[in-house]
Amino acid sequence: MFKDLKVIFFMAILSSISITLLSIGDSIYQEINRKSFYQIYGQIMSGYNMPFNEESIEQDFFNSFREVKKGTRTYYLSTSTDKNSIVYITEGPGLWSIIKLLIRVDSDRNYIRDVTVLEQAETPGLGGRITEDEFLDQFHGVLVRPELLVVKRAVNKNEVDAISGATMTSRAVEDIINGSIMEMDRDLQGVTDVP
Amino acid sequence: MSLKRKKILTEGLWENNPIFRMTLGLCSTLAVTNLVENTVIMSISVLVTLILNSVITSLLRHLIPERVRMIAYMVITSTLVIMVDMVLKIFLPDISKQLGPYVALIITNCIIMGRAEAFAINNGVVDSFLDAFSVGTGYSLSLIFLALIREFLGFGTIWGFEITANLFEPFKLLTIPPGAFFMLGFLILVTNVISRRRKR
Repeated sequence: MFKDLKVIFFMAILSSISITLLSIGDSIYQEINRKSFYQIYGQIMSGYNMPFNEESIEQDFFNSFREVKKGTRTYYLSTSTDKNSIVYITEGPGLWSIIKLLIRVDSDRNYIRDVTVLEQAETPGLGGRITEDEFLDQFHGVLVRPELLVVKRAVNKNEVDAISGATMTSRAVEDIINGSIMEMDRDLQGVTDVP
Repeated sequence: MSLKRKKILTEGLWENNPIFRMTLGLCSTLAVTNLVENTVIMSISVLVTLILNSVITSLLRHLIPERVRMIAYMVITSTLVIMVDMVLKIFLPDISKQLGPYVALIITNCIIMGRAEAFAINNGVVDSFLDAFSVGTGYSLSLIFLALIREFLGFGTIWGFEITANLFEPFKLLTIPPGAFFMLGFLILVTNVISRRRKR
């Protein structure tokens, strides 16, 4: 009986110490992570070469963008530089992990301006290379009509090169982007441009 | 330094090498060793976790009730790994993203629990530290060696720098986990042959 109590007592103390340490660690991490949400605002604005102030980033952001919320998705439409171009965050399944992308679309909604990978956990060195500029730079000005294609050797305006050795992940990115464009067309149907 | 400690220090490098001799912790080995940079970060994470885990286990060895020692190891290891994961996410976000789930999976790495159970629970703090350091270094060096071969032959680069300048077509098989299996099997063969020769 006494032995059992000792076991329970020991595990209770060990777990409490562990939980305390982890919650301290987590609160620090969350604090830094909150800044990372602002980082997305910063990332979007630097993509547009807009000046912004770290202190008033939220305000700066909403001075230049209007927010359109449809279902789970949020679209940010520029009201200053590159007027009416659209930025949104989308995610979908990769080969192993959820891939989260930040996509910027031209104001006529036919071309992609920029794609940034926010989160992924694909095979390091293979699918994980979708975060590299070599792959992402191809998306500057790529046509998404009738649809985007990830192919071995890009020839047409709506094609980009797949990562060799990571065809599945490349194709997953293609699917995520095409799906999100379809959703965007539907979501923003009634949303008119600001003059 | 006493003879015993010297033995502890060298054992992890060869006799008790976790990868080639004990074949432990292979999941992460196969997954991350296709790039040297990722491998180094992964190795450091494992080394730090392993050392801290062994030292803490050794410090608590008289307190841990025998019946729940496995659970106690798990609690200590998970706490450490989650913290290492947070540190990587904060300071090396890019590499952390590349390594994906494999850092968190250090929790299930048999080497860490293995050293706690096989050594730290019965030995003093200094010895446990030396043992963890030795095994961890053995793990790191093996992984880096494997990564050097795989990155060189698979991508033609080392630490991301172009080395081969298109002298040969990169051997793509080595960049994926099945290729790592072949390479690892071959290296285990080599180490076995060497250690048999040495015994004779």
